[in-house]
Amino acid sequence: MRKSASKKRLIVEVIGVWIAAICTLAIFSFLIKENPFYRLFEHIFLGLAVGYTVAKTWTDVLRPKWWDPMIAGFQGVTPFGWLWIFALFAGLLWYFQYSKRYHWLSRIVIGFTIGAGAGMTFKGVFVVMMPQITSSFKPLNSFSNVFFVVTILCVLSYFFFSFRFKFRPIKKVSELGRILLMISFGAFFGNTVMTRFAVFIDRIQFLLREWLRIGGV
Amino acid sequence: MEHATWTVRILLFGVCFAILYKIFFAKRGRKLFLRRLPGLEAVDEAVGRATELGSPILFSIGLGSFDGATFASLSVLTRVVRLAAGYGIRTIVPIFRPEIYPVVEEYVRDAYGLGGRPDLFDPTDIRFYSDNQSTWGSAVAGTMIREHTGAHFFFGAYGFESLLIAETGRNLGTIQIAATDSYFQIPFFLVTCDYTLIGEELYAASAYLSDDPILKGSVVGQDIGKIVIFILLVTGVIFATLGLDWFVRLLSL
Repeated sequence: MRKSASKKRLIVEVIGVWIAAICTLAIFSFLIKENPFYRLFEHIFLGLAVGYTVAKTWTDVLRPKWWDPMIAGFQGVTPFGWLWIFALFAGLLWYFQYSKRYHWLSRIVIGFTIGAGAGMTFKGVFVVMMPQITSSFKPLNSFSNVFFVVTILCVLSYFFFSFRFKFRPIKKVSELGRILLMISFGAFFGNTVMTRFAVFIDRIQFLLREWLRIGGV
Repeated sequence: MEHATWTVRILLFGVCFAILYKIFFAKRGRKLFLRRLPGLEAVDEAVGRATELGSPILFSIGLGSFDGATFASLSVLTRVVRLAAGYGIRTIVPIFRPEIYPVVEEYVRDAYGLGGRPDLFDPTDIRFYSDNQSTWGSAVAGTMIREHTGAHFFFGAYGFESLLIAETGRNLGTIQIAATDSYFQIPFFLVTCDYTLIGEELYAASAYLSDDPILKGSVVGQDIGKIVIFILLVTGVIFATLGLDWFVRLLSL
């Protein structure tokens, strides 16, 4: 009995590896050219992702944050939990997008969402920015600190959009800011390329070791 | 929860006041200067290139939801769709966030109307693919190839899929313009796109191209905020060098 169960598990594992390998090769085939094999898997991938998102939205958001508290409210477990029913009506307003006559109803909820988004962004920027400013107050007692301060001031001056840089030295400072930005982008680029190669090597290792069984598992 | 000190509150209200003042200033019809960014001339050029080819334009507004980068991108999208509609060219907009879909649809519909071709608006050109980055990137890359798009615009916030989509466009030889405030993705756009707007240039570009007094006033007002930050930085560095930390405490949250 145990032997047959482990055999079944092995078969499932092998099928899983084959599916993963075919998916990987299908997506990699795009490197040669766009082809029906890639297109098929692109659409499978799309369908799976949307299905996964719908299921995840229910299990991670709607059920624990809306459905369960609302049901608990109706059952008398929590005093005002039933009020969550109104969130359903607000949510349903989105679907008036498809009605020509009542299209304006959807604008209420869209406006509300945009307002909430703007408020959260404003708070987020402020909370993130202020500690960054204060932590940039570095004493000029080492080369790295001097370089840091010069860089931050030059880059900041590059992002002034409403000034005419008629005074030549200020224009030069702004240009230096751009050069320093490009140097940092070069460092980002190298770092990220290395990370991407690590991901690529991981896929190649999967194909060789787990699928083709070359080089040991 | 973090609360601001009185100094920080004064600073915050000061910057907000500067932005609002400049917005009202611009709304009263006063001229505000915004420096021309190199990539902006290329917007018209890219639309022209797609028109010559008779191909649709692909305009991605990125991964953002209801945030600043997305709204800045939507202003540029309006300009591009309006311009393209005037030449009878479609614009395809791949969507990442489902909640932003109806807003984008409204913007695009209005832009076709402003371009004098409301008949050209096709709701299927605004396409929600997925809110998974890899899947979305694959779908956008596939769309570029299948639709033979003539110009690509990548505005807004991006993640690791930026290289996947921009490199596909590069291989196709399509003119590409990118503008993003996602700092880690800027290098990839720099190497694959014809023109790249860096960081806050995205917001300046949207103000410049849309000529909207609210956006223009906001960018100029933010410049005043940047001058305040510049002065704070210089003062803070002087105090730190002198070994005095009360200035840091004054500005701490």
